[in-house]
Amino acid sequence: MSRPPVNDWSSDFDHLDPRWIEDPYPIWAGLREKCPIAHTERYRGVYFPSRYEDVRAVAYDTEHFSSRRIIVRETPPPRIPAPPITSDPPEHRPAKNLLLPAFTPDAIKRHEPHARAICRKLIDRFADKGGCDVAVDYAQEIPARIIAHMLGLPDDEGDRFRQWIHEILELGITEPAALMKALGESSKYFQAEVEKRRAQPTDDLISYLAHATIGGAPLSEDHLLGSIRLILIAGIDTTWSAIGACFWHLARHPQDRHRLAADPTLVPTAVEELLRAFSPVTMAREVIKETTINGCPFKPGEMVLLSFPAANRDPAVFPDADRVVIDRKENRHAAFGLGIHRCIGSNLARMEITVALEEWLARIPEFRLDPAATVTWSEGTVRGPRRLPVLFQGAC
Amino acid sequence: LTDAAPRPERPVSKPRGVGEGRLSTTVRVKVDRDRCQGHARCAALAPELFKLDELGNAQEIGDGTVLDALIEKAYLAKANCPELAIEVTET
Repeated sequence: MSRPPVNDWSSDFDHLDPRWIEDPYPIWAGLREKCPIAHTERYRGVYFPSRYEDVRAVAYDTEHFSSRRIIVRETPPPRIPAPPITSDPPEHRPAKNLLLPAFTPDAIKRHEPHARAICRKLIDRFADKGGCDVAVDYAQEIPARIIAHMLGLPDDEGDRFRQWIHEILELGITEPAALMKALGESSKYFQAEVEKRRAQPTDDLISYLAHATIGGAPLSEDHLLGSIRLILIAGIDTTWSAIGACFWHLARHPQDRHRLAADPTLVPTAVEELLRAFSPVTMAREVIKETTINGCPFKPGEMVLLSFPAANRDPAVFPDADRVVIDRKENRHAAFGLGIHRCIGSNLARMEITVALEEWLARIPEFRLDPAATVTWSEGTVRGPRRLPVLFQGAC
Repeated sequence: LTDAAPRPERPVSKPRGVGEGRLSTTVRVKVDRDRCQGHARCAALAPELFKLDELGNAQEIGDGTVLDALIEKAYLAKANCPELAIEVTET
């Protein structure tokens, strides 16, 4: 896909530009200095706040900024509800509260032994091979299997789920047909799973949602299928990216790697710092009422890229923001969002990332990027390595 | 996961003098329940001071009184709350 080259990041940015996909951080640093709220005429008009305070202001302002569209696409598709992420107040709160109990730290702790078993099995497959692609052979498999289990779906259908994610979140930005195909296929698939559970309830999230009510009424079919799709998509792509980014850092920074391998109690703190430095998720909002943020006017109908990754690199909030400080103690990062749309899966993601690092470092403390291979990154809404070949100690 | 909170050598963002040899000073934590969005950082970093409800939103344990040994943790929790929902007061 060839796109017109970007001439000026502050007035013509394109988040699908190869430079942005490869290494966005210097671009964002430049914007923060020169034009903290960038704008582009591309995608029918999009704003890009690059400072923490402005990202925060937009995230908190549900009166002027709606979540009914959360992905910037070339052509706005028909409304695709995926409650609660696409909900605004007052519908948002009941839709979110329905899901929250399944994702508290205590509820997530029950899945930890399963996560460890998955990681160990995956490592068994490649531990004696001298190397692997961490993104493909490890990172992408962990969240896919766990979220499938929570939903009550087969845990070996990761390829199917990832294909939908690729079509909805990546291809779908510029190809409406790919988006509509994935939406149609996934709805049909979820519908069949819902029917099974209506006949015979099971102990999983799909069954729970199929029998749930809000204000005494069952969920609409759109709400139900949208929430299931949200849990599946948001549960896989994001954490896969976060785990991959942790390994991308550790493969290139032996000191941090050695420190974590020697002291696993530091892993949870390190996970927070790696989440800050390489936050995967950029959401979007639609401007629904004219307003100004930090003196910059926002026009209704245009979109805002809500870059938590950029906010988390703002030196005004994080000293030495572009450096990974593996034991950073003050870390008020926004990797899981700010305000009412705080990621429902944050406790799950933290558990998965922590377990993935602990299990790997216990078995393979020494690894580095394969100098003969290329690292590739996803594009658009979720940023993370998609190819990350590494060599273990002793190999070559 | 919740057991491995970092132990800072010195308090984070702690005002000078707080909890340092001033008799009769009471330090308290309080969660602003309207601001809290359930990031659960406080309960992970200072489980002695904060608990989570059935939705995962935080509140202080008891009346929020912080024993001397936990003052550092109180400020650590405050410094890590993305929603600025934690208040630490000294009376």
